[in-house]
Amino acid sequence: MIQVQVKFLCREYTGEMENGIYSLSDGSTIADLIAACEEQYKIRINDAAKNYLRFMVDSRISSWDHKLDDGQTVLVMRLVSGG
Amino acid sequence: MYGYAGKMLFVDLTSKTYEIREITEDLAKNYLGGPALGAKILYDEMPPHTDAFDEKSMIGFVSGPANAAGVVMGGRYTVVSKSPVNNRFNDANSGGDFGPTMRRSGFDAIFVKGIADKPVYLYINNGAVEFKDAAAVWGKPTLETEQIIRNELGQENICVALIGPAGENLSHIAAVMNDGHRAAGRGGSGAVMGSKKLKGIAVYGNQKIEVADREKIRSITKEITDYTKGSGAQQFSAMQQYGTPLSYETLVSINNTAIKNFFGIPEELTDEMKQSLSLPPKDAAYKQRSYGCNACIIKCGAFYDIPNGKWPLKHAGRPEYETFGAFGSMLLNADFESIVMCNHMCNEFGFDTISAGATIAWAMHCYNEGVLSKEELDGIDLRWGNSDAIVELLRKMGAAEGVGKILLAGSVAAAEHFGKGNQYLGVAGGIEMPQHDPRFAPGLARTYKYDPTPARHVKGGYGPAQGFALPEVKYDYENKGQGDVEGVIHQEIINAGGFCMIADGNVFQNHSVPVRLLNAITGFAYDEHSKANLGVRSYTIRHAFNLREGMRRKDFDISPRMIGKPPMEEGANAGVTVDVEKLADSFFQALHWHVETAVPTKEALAAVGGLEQVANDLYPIDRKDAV
Repeated sequence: MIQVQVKFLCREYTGEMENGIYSLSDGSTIADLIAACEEQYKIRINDAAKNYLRFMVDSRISSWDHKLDDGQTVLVMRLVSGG
Repeated sequence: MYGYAGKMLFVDLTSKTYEIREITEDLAKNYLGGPALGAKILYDEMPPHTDAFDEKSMIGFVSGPANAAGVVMGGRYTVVSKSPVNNRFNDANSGGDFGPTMRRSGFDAIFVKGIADKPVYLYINNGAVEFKDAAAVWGKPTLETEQIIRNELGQENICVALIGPAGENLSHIAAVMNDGHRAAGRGGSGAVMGSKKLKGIAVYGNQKIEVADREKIRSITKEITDYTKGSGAQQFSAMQQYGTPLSYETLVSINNTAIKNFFGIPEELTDEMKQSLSLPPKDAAYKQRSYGCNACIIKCGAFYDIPNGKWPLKHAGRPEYETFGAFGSMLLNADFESIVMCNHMCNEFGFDTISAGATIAWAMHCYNEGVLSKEELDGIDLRWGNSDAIVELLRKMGAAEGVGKILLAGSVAAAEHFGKGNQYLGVAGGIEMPQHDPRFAPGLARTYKYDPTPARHVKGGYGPAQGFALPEVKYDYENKGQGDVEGVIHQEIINAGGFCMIADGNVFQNHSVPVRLLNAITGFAYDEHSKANLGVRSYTIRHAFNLREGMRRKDFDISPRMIGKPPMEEGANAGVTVDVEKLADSFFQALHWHVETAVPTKEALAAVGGLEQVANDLYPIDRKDAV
């Protein structure tokens, strides 16, 4: 098992998913993390919304298939542009 | 001609005379409006090497065809002039209702030269032009000035583009304000108005803009509505709720927004500070209502009432993303209410919030590193995050008092005045950086350094799209030129058309929407080829203005640390040094320009068309490579 610290920065897409430590099986990816969160909170993020999701793992922009390591920090955010 | 009022007003303040000229179809089709049309007029009408504050210097207020044409997101107009910061071409755009109202008053654009013998404002009412005495409003803040002018003219529905005390004091970071809370902020055009003793331009009118194909506009509007209620609904509604600062918390967390004068990392903001800066609870407490620019369906602006605390405010504008950055994380300032106060003060004084915050960040950095003493800052304890000190320093800048008189000239001039602190400047072409870090989105470095109006987040390139790309993609500098040019073309058309760039993705599903709208408005029938030429022509004429001043590629600059020289040691941008020159090489190659000098080839100018005067100026004799 691995544990990762997760912070959600896009409530409009992730709803009630709570910031905190999540336990996942070894070899889990970001996609697995989001699927686990969807399962836990009974939320389904639709495909259009998923296109807007972006991730940063330990200060590095990362993709859905990024393999997570124990102790990493994951920021879940939406694609944003500033202004 | 469809899509235009058809007339431009040229005013001479010295002689208090004016001339009305028609816009020819060629001029409209080639330059559309906004910064493109503005640059073309300034190129043709303003003598080379004119100082920004000279009598012959011109300032223009230029609409786009989307203004008052009954299309959504078409409320932006552009102020063009020379920048007093660097004496290059300057453009800055703003929303509100001024651009559309100017068109309804009978003019697509207003250009002003000369210097009045005493403060004046102009009143344009359905084509009639009056020079009005501005003695009663000179020295007054912007909101009060607008109301006095409305009362004086007996007309509530006028719009005014105007300056506050910052412009009157010739501050190089002075904005042109309009409609209370909207700013054409960047580059110091407000000081150009001040130098002319022009307090403002009030416009009123009820003339209609005829469009080529109203039915087509309706069908595109339906398409937009379907998008904002369908696949784009979440984006759209989030932007409606929180406006541009929607992104602030995220962009700070990933080291895109400036932290500690671009020297910091997100970890320098404690959880308590981040909580204090978090928008949703503050919106819940303070937001009274949303407001939007003309024809906007987002309404990203909001009015705050803050009833208690150190800085109680009523009907204050909610700061934009850039302002939250400039007066928040940039200064390690987590006092939310102080940021609202600074935003309000900038609006009232008529300061560009980006440059004002960045100038204070420079002074703050110097103070905290022992470069500037407390005595040099009039006794102000400008330690990181001291919100009382930030507000007091900004007040001094607005009042042109003590050290404020030095800082209101911007960070570069202040560093020159004190003869120190250059290592803490974050500028391109002398203009303070906006709140998107080019080390995070490296394509921005090319835009910030080489755009004809430097240090702009509202100019085109491939930077904005790449920040969220994987590091191995975004820090690969090979062959980015074509994508960079395509980004430029799109943004030039957005700006020249009078559209809001916030529409991209939030309202306009793809890049074809603004061009299709422009075709329906004007009937110009731009296709892919002519659209590309329009965008490149717009960029080229702005650039050509600077070339005629003698600028070449070697004269463009950016603070080395802003491109990672030296690189950051921690955070998301650690180890990053942006190869901005490789990006620029590729960009100029894609434009078919001379890479060494950034001068368009004669062939490139001919291929784009509509740039004959530029070609004649750059190539006065028929010889290749006469650069």
